[in-house]
Amino acid sequence: MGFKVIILTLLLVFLNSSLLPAGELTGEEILDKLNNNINITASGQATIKLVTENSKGQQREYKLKIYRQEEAGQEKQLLEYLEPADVEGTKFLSVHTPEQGEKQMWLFLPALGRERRIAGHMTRDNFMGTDFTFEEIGGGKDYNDDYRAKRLVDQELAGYLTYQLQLIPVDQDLDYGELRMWVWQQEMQPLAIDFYNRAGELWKQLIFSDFEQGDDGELFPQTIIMSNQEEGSRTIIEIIENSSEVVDQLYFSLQYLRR
Amino acid sequence: MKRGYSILICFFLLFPVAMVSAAELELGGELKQVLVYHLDQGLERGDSIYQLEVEKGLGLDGKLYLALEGEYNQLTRKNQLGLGEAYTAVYLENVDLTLGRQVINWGTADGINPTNSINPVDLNSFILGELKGEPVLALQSAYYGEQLYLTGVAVFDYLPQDLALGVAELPGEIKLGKEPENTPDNFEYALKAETSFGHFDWQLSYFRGWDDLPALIYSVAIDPLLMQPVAGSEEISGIYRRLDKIGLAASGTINSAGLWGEAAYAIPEEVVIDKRDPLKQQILLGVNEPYIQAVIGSDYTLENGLYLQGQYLYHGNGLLFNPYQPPDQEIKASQYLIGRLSYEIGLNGTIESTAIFPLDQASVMIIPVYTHALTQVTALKIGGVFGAGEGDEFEALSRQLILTLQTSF
Repeated sequence: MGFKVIILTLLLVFLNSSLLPAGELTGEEILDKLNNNINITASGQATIKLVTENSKGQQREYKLKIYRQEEAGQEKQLLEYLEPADVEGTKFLSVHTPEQGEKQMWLFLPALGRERRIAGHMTRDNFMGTDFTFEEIGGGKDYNDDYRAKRLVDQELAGYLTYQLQLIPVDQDLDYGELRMWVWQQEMQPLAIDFYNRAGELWKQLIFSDFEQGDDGELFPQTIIMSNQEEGSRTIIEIIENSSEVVDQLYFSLQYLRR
Repeated sequence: MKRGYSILICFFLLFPVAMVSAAELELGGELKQVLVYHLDQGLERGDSIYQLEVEKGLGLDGKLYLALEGEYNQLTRKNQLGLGEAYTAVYLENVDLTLGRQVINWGTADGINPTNSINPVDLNSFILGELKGEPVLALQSAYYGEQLYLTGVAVFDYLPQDLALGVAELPGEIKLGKEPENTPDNFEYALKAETSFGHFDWQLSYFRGWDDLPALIYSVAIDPLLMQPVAGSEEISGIYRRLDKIGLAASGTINSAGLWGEAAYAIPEEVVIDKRDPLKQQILLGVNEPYIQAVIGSDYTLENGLYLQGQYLYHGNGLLFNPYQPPDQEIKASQYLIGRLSYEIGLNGTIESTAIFPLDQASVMIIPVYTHALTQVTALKIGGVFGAGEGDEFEALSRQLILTLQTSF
């Protein structure tokens, strides 16, 4: 359950333990079913290890704490760097209230001693040297809003029977030209997503692995890897600990950001 | 009096730290080696700078923090050790209280903040391209309401800024007057109200305290026969004067760009120039009336990752790096355009460059820096400060190469 927080937080891909007859679902229905689950849970906190790796294999390792809450359609998320020393205390707060339009984001840098608002355009930039964009790391991305899903021929992936979805953007401003998603049929878990650029070339690849069962019986991936095919870089996320306990509202405030 | 406050600091700060066992403390810090080479004058600085931070987090209830800072000057072979920030923070439900030596950063602009008046600029950091404040003994109380945040600050120990930039060109020796006593009448106070509209954060602030830099008064004897200044009789006296400042700052985003603006209306205490003695001429070497400081700026990141930033700065009290003018020159407002770009090269490299263009001088100061991460916590910085064109505002800082090796732990 708690790992759902991580997945929703970082990858915005959606968990579901429901089982539906495979052959009767359209692509939209599969995506819709995945997306529907966002509004049910996705509150909690987790500690993760985040490793960035460039094309030469050089790595940087970070430890982060993530707090997330979804309530009444509003999504709030705080990322706090715990290690290493040069980024310790850096915090990133994002608040998305749909009726207020664009997501609001603040970055607190200890060296600056105060927060800075992050401009909307930065949501598509890479977050702190990772292969995830600010938008992806900031949570709350709804694939149903941005893409139309078409179900392709089912495939076997890593030994699991999956639905294969083709996601076409409805907004021409989106960076990605197309997505391919593989959803584990038995558990309705996404196993992989390929992100294509506007030229139709594979840009990024997201893979979920090392699934474990949580206390509530749901499966969750322990390792999540985003590979940037163009740059040859990777970002690896390993979950250290997590909890789905309700997070204090304080964590989603400028008050906490400044502490 | 100041010694009494120092004891107070130690009591408030070290007593709670002592109650925490060593195992519960978080240690961190930074080691920095700095070489500053002037292209004409040779090696100017060769410093080892170190900082040890001790922190004890109390979860959502508070924090104890103490930083010891030191510097060994290789050229003079002198060692300095001092206290950096050192404070106790207590977090209540909607109120955060912080007492101790602290740096309080207000404002929204990047680098130069007209509404940031509580801490004097640390010239040591300024020379290395950082604009840090010197910690002051203060109580900060911040209230966080639903839509409104209120912050009140009381500074108990006035700390002036070091006089270094620009004063070397002034005629005569500078004799500084007595600093204000640390009595309640002389404490500095600041208030800030914050709120958000749409995608903008707004800050309204008021500061009542003392100007960080003294007002300098140039005096020269007049020859009664020739009615001309007597050579060698020049002297400059510095007095600390009160300052009131009203500030407004905002930051936000519009479409794809970050935007910010910040303005302050400063009211310095008027310095009375004695004109009764015909055989003595006195001239104030700075402003003696209210003035405005303002910054507006914007930033944008291109698709290729190049970060671009531009700021316009209006400085109503003279030059940015030198608020004093020689006695034969009139103080006038100055304006600047400041541009900055930054680009990451691979995983380990970052190139940054800042350029400052004074609009009323045909000159420019360029500060390029290349940072290479040797390890995740160790970085080598190679940079410089270069001036070009007419005008001497940047002369003291120009033609420097700066090499920095720093490690965080």
